[in-house]
Amino acid sequence: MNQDKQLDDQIDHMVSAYSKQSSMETFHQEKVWKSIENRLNKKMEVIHSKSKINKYVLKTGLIAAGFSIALSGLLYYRTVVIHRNGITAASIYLTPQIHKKSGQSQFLFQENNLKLRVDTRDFKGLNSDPILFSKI
Amino acid sequence: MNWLYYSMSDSQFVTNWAISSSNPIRDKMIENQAIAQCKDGDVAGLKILYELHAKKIFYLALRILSSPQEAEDVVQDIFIKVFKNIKNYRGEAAFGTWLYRVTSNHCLDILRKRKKHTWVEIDETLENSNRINFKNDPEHAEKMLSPTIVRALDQLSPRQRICLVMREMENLSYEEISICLGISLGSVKSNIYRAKEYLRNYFKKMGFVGEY
Repeated sequence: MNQDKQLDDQIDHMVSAYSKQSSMETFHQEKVWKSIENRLNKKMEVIHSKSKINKYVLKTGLIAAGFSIALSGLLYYRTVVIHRNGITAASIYLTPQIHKKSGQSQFLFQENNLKLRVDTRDFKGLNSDPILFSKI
Repeated sequence: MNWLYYSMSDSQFVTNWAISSSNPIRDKMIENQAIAQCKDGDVAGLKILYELHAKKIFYLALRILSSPQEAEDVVQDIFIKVFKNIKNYRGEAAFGTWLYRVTSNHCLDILRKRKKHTWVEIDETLENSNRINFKNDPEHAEKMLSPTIVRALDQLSPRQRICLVMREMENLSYEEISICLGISLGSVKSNIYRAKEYLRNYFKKMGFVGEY
């Protein structure tokens, strides 16, 4: 019984530490608002369908560069805007993940759970083109 | 004087004023005005609601999802949803409560999606931190507390996790959680009870007992 009480105290302590640590995270209020505004003003487009991803990303062969940006870009603003010829073509939300066993990376399209896989070796030596891609 | 300015169309001013206000009645009036603006399709109204509530939404999502990146994405999605669906808000519950409900449902969906695949976040490399010795290494233990509880929370069902976060970290009452999640009071209580029981067993397995 005493051990259970100790354990409960420990759990309370951990929950409290977690809560406290969460409170210390910075919320980038202005930047998030900018993204909301852009989405509402249709300056950005969220890709919902696989065909659009094919059209904008896969077929143009830019996906590797996009991943490179997401990786080097801190994984923070996962909204990546794709520009084509200076015009914003699309924006995608990426969730970087790594497979437990194989170590293979993939980026998950948050909106519709589409998975796109890429070998982590592909990232080496890749120079992202700032004209084609930019983070918000 | 503030009230006179409030009626002006300068949304930036209204926003700044709203943040600095410590008067809940005035905040409520500003909120109602902003909701009306939103219903008319005015983004300035959304901006005011954002200034009033975004932080709370961020920290709620952060505690539920344990990912600042995802939490910021949630804030984006929630306020887009708010703008598109504000007409469904009829004022029966407080706006904040409605927002909490929308957010918790959104987070619930994210947690459910997470459960479906076996992929893990890139920075989740805590395999060697299973055993924490509070007695011999309290400093290290403190550092490891948060990631450890995150891993434990990951084991809970999405519903249990949200109930626990709302109760233990957001300090909501059982009734408030019940309203937010749209589930019965009994269901809230049993979810929290089961969550705690699971955590107790989880930490027992990890050998936490007697080391604190």
